[in-house]
Amino acid sequence: MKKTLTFIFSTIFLLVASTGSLSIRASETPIQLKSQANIILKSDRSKLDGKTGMFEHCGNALLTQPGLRISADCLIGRKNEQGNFDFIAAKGSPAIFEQENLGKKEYLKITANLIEYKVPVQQFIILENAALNLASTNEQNTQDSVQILAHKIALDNINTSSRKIDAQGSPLKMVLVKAGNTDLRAESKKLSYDTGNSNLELSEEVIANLELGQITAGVFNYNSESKVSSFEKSEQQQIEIIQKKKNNP
Amino acid sequence: MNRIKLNRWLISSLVLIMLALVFLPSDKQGTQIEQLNEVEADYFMVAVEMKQFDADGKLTNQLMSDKLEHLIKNDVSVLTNPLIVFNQSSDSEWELSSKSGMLSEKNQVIELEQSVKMVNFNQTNETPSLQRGTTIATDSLLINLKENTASTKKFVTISDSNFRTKSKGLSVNFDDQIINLESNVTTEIFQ
Repeated sequence: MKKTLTFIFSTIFLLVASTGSLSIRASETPIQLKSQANIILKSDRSKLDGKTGMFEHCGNALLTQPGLRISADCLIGRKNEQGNFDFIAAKGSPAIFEQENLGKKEYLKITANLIEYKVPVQQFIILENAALNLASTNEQNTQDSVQILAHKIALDNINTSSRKIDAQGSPLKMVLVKAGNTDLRAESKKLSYDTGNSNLELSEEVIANLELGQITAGVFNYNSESKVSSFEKSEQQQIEIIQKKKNNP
Repeated sequence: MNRIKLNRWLISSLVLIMLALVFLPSDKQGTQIEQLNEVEADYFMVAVEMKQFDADGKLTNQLMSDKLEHLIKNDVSVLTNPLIVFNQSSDSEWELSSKSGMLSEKNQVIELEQSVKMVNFNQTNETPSLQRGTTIATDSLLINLKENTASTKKFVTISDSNFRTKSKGLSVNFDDQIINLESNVTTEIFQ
């Protein structure tokens, strides 16, 4: 009887122990999903540095991922402490970034002398003669686009439905096109734009040309969907509104 | 009683002699030299192990081969299944192997042929023991022992757990750990 009880208790103990160890193992090694496709680099020649973990792909260098393409004179990458290549810089005159979404009929093109790509977070820092053009064909089959010229553009591209664009330059120029017509043409020193909600903020020495006229301000907020704009003065900049004369038919 | 003592002494001596034969190092351990009748080769060795030391007496390079056959005509040695360990005293060691090879002691070069593989082992502050790193595979490789370099014009594949690179032509400097790929380079970075 004692032996039977001991057997039953030890069996229960073993079952509990094994279940516990399984659950611990499961929690220690979570399933790692690969969120991104592999990166392919092509070039005429390459240099790998075993000491620093850096690589240089030079001569007609091309980086591709599904839907994404960067062409440059040189693609330079480095490994992080875990040994993964998490940073790639494209140098060129210019380096060209292109991303096409055929389903959404959307095309993004960026040119600059230097494009830095933080791979895991899909962030791009675009430097020197930076130009960004995001064009899409809307439901009415007309084209919407945003064009930005700046010294530096930071693009958060992890969610292509709601890209965050920050830019700075002196001057910084931008054009918003809605349904094939120029909606806004502006200059400033700083820009922040969210392609998801169409919220635009321009700051520092803003000159914005809308359909109604020209606005000079310290800060200018505009939504190209709702057409609502607001503007503020700054210490250096008073608000000025120059209304366009309506052309009577 | 004396007879028993004598027997014990004899058995102990015999065991000691056998142990000494098995474990004591020999200068010619693993190496056999035989004269050949063939005209091409004047001698060959099997289970060859050659070691190179620096001025401080540190082991730097090591060559092992199943067979080494010395050819009179070209003053070169043909190697079978050679394995070379480069920069053994440094924090970045390379192991080179192939199915066959040719050693020219006069020119200080080794030519490896067929299934050539170079494996890099690295040591870092985080990983004090040598960790397997980059592997390079090709069909042919010329190693310059004087300059501590290697090169090939053939197709090469370089890989580790995070990437794979294919190219035509390669040169490696073992001292500064720089690998140059000369043409048609394609790299796949695993995510």
